[in-house]
Amino acid sequence: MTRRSSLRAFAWVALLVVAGGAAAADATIRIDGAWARRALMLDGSGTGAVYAALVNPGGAADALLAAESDIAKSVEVHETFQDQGMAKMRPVKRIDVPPGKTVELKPGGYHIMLIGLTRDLKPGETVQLTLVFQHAGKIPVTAQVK
Amino acid sequence: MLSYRGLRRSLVLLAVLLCAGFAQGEELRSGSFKPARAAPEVGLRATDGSDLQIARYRGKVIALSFGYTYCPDVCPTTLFNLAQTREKLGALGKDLQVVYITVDPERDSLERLKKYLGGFDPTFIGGSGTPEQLAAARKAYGITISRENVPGNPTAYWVHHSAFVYLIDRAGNIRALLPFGITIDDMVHDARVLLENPS
Repeated sequence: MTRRSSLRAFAWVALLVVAGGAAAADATIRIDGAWARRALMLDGSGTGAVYAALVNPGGAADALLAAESDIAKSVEVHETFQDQGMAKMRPVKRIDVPPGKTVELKPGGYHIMLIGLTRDLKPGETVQLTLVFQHAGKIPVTAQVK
Repeated sequence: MLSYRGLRRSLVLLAVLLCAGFAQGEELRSGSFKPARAAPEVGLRATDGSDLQIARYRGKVIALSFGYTYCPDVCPTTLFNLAQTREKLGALGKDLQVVYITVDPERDSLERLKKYLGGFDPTFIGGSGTPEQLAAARKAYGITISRENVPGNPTAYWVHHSAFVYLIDRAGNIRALLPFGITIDDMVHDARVLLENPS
């Protein structure tokens, strides 16, 4: 009786571990090399940018929908693009991260824009933010200030 | 009309650069001006309290660019790369003067611009002036801008702008046009060519 119940418990635990592992592998987006550009808060009107690689090792598509942080009054997902000899910027509603692919947020391209910095971003410090994905949900990220 | 003119100017500039580039490929990695032409003068105020004139920096190599302090991605990237370039040039870097002219005089006071630039390198000089003076400076250097209000926020706006960097040699001639996105290594290379070869 005791042996049977411990076996049953073991089976349950095993099942949970396997199921949990599978769910994590499916849904997990990895954020690599997150960094923020050094910036001054300039009386609360300074702007900044965070960059990172969004890695999707799983088999299902996902998308970055938003970013949150208390480092700035507002945090938006933006894209820089070239048009008529100018570097222009526009907000983007989502950044698709296809299965098995990596999408780079980098200077002159996609970036997390920090509008109205609440403190200076000094080299060597870190910035905490949360990236919100359509399927993976909220992923906390620590970005190194460079 | 303005953007068409800007586009046409950019295309002419590009054509000139391409021709020049083929003739002069081994010297500079970015677009070069051959023959070099005198850098147009500007009449602005500088962040160090003096008049901002190109002639004031004769004897130094000038890296001239345009931008504004509310710009989160492109401008900090350019300014950071220019600061790195000065650092990597070592002693030679002292003779590279970065001049940064605002495209947003409404919000960029000289004081604010000075503080902003100081976050990258305290030797950087910022320039501003009346809207007319700034428009003349942009026209002289083929810089186009376009102001766009931020949707949902009546007081916020972006100023899209040309984001290249001019290199002006020690004699006051425009010698190179560095496109946005050029690597720091290439920036260092081209600045060094001009710093080590006076004319």
